[in-house]
Amino acid sequence: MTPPITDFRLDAIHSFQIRTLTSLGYRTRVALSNSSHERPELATDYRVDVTVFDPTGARARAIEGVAHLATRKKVMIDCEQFVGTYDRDVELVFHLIPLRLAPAAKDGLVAVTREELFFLFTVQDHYVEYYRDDGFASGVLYQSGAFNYGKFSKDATTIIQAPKGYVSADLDTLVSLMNSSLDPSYRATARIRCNVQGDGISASWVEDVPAFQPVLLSLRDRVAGLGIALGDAPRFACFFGLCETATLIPLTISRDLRTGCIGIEHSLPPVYYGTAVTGKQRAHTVASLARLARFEP
Amino acid sequence: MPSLFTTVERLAMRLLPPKVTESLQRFKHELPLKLHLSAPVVQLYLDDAHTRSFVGLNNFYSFLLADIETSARVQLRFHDSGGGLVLRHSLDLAHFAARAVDVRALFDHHRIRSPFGVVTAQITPTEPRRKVYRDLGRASAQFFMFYRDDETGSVEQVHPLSTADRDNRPSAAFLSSQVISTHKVRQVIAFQYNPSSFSHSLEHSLVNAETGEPVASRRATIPPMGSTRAVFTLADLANLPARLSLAVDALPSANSKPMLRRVFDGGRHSMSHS
Repeated sequence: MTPPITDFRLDAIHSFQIRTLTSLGYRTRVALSNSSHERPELATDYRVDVTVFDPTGARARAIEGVAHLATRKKVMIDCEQFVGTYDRDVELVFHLIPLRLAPAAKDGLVAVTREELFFLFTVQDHYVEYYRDDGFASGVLYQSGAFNYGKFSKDATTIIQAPKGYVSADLDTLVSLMNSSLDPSYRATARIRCNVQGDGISASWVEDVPAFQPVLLSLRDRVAGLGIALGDAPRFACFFGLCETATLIPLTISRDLRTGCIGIEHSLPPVYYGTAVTGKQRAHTVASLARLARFEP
Repeated sequence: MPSLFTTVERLAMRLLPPKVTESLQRFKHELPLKLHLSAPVVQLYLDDAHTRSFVGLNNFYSFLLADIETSARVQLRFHDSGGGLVLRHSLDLAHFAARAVDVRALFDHHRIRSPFGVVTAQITPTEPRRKVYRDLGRASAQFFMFYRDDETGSVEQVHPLSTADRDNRPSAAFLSSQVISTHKVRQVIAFQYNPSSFSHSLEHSLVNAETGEPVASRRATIPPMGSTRAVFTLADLANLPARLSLAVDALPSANSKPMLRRVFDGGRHSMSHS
């Protein structure tokens, strides 16, 4: 057992960061799960708090106790009550406050082992779903840790390989990026180097992702900008991304432009491709990608 | 079955003093040994009257070891829902290349009719014994599936969840973290594959998301490398709650969770991993 991390924010132990998709005509709801019973000594109920950011990335509201999440249970929360007035996409952070640890908190800080931290947020996925009045809904399960919070991790980089872009006259793939943090003082804008290629497509550019302001990158717009005519058949466009200064939360969103229907998936971190691509090896990957001409705009 | 090399290595590790085994480990690292690859990665394809599938691949060796010029060979295997191997297909990936395989075009070319099944992928560098690849640890040929239904304008994408490993054994009961709102949902479909070497019987259940009480279930036996779909038409279910969850009594292998599709009134659909 490693020594505990001291002065860790209680509201950063277990969180779920999401974005809205108002810009695509969708409302948002989440289903949060609690599987902490799988290790009885670490089992805990949660109080669910939420921080709402406005379209400028400023903290608009912090609401305590929007739900109670017992072990072995799920709770569905409709986010419209928090963001219904915004006509642009915003970020929400759900804080799952472990009630077993809460009594020990002093000024909102606790001591927690890395083992417990990782167990609590990786033992289950949470679900974000985007829905419309006509009933259509599409969502994705994922986990998101306390990224860009120094107590959680000193490393803050992002590498994305996403062979799942398809574009045509009526089909787009959007890359969603969130630059989130559980550190209230976090303000850093992340710069991500982007590259897309496939089916005669090759382009590189740079995007800025401000803190707490989710962005959507249209691969269709990027391909069309190359002067490539898009017909009915989907053209494949693989997206690559490299950010050396922040841990971003990437999702890809396929979108049929006739119906507005979407399909969403998260990306896979490098350790899924190579079990040793962590720590120094991951840093080596980042450094060698940074030297590549393909990431030069 | 462990190789002779592995057996000798295990014996040596057990019997020899630590200093000697450390030297042997260093020596082993210098040998041109086989690349450490996971079993082929597996996911579902659909090629029915409505939905077509695309397998998205990239040369991840180039991405993870960008300083090293790597070309790679992709081997895809397509199985029908009965588990039968219907097609082997290979393609090359140049350094940093990415390609998509249009399953319908491929099946049409080979005159294959298989409305759904699994595709497995293995991606191997053309020089797999180069020492540098061992820096990756065990490599896995991750890919992404994209599904499109032109008629209803529905689009879906999923990443693989498991491998087609000969050593796969049935896994524990599973309860999805998804919550299914039943509002304007016509059908819930669980696409399930069995990436093991044994037939596997299992039961998919829809349960009340609040209480956990069963609402409906479908039992199936899936042959090795086969797949099935459990279709729940919600209008047929008595006492339908506002919210459902999907449960499986025993997955065919670790993390071989079903793909969960919702079909809405009017026919549009969405699908994601459960």
